[in-house]
Amino acid sequence: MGARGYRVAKVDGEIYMASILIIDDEKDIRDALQMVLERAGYEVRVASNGNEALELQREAPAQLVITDIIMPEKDGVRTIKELSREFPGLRIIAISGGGGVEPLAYKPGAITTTAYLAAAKEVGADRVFSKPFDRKDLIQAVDDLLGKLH
Amino acid sequence: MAARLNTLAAHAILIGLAIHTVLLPILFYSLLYIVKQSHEELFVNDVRKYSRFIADVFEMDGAVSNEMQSVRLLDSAVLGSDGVYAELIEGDRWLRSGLLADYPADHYKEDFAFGQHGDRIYFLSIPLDIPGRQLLLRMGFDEQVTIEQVKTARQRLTVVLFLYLLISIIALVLMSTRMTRPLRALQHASRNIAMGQHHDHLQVDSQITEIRELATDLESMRAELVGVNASLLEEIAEREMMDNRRKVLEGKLRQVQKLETVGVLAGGIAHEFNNILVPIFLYTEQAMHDLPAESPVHAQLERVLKSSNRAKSLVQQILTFSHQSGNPEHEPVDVKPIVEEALELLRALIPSTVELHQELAADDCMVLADRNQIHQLVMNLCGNAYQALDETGGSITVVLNRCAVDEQFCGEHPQLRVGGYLRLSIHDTGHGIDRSSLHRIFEPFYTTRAVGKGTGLGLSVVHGIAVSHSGDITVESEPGQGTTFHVYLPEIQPHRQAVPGHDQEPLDTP
Repeated sequence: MGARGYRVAKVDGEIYMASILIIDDEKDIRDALQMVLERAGYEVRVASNGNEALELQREAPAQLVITDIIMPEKDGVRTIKELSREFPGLRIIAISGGGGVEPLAYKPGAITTTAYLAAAKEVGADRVFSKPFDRKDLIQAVDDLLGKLH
Repeated sequence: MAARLNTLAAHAILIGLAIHTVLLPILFYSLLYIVKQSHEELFVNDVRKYSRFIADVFEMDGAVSNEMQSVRLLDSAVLGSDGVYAELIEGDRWLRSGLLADYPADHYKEDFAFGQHGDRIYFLSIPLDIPGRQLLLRMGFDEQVTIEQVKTARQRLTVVLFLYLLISIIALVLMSTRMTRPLRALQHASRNIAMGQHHDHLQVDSQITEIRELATDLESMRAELVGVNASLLEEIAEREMMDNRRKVLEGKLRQVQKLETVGVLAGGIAHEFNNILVPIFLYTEQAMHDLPAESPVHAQLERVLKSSNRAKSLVQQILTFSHQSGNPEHEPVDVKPIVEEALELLRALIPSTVELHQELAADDCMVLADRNQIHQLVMNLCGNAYQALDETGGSITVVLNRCAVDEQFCGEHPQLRVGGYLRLSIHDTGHGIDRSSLHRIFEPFYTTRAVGKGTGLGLSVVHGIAVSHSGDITVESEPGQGTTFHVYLPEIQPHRQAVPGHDQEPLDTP
């Protein structure tokens, strides 16, 4: 298919060059997401935590944020809360591999991936994915949310 | 010997003998003394009697007219008494009995003299009571007579006293035996009690109050001992039961803790693993997207993707075991149709050497559950059973029924609560599981199968599913006899709001 030009997105009736902000504390995941989405024609910036993401977003707002849930410093749920308050209309995708590092996790009813993702949805995430996910599913979701124009 | 001498009977006999050894000589010599004394008294009485007799004769006659008559009187005195000598003395004149031929002619002037055999002869004189005359009767007595008498008396006494001694010893022996018989019975009984045979009633009849009371006391002690013993035994049994229960619980707790630890660890690893899988999937898929489908690299990447998917499903299983599978959407489901569906699928999968029986009794049995996980639970357990029958063939029996979990069962299975449960039992007739494996069977990656014949996750997943459904799983197995798994899932009762006991409450309560 080869390289394509930057995709544009229609947000609130206006057409912008679609840009995406990726937040994940793991570099490998950031890099992989960045590569896949850039290859899909989006402008991508990355942040390794919620605070960094907020700064980047204030500098140059992206139309869509893909964020991990469990991160040091500021977790995904808080990040989503703050971003959606400050940037109404921002599309958000939450991804998570689930919790389960604290001993409570073994007990029935412990916080599970679904619980985390449900919380993310609660505070304003448009879509949720649990790791690992399909490349096609992700691109599909991004395209849908940004109202991709072909 | 010393022991025999120390018995009560021996003591009584010895005391009796001791008393007799002191008493008998005293008795013997006193009696002899009395015999001797009374014999001497006899002489005195004889002399008095004849002095009176002679005096009477003389008085009647007025005087002794001739010597012949006097001598005859003296003869009669000698003959009538035990004496050996008699004479009458008046001044210088004297008359002697004519029967004294053996005696020397000169009269005995001493108080005593020696007879012809060397016997001592005693003389007694008494004045005759005749007015106007000075007559004196003098008689002699041979000590030999007394000695003979005393000798005879002594012989008789010895015999009598010996007989007395014999009789009293026999009496003592009999009495002490009689007295000690109940004591021996008591001794026997108390020895039995000491040896532990304390269930027979103690019965000792005795005339002696002390022994009777002792027997009564011993009997009440025995009865109390029996009671105390029984309560002790009961206590011991209870303690043993508690101990065993505690041991079972401790073992159970250790197992739960172990699984918990392993679960936490596995959950953490799975989480990390999912993160690692993200770039693998994304890069592989991107590369496949970029390459033409006919490229040989495309096919290779296909293999990478396939392996990655296997890794993904493995991680999913681990997360199921550690309850982090992210499927908490439990809804009321009827378990029976799920089991039926799974069994239908299994029938197609397992060869005909393995028989599959089903006894699904619990109709409309609702459980708050995840449909897919219950399906997986049945599949895993039946798959496990089938693996046990792989080579030999045999049968798998799946039983579904309701059961009530009581307090005792809860004690052994801390995960459960008192109430109605649905029990799914899967029994196979396979080779069974040995004891050491049985304890570890729910640990992830624990497998007894050959490498490559299973991941060792199947039962861990089943355990995880059971526990995350507020249930539990138990396993019974005898090597060579087969294995049975019981899965307990709490039943919900949508149609019955009240607990059975509440139905009996009166409706017209004010």
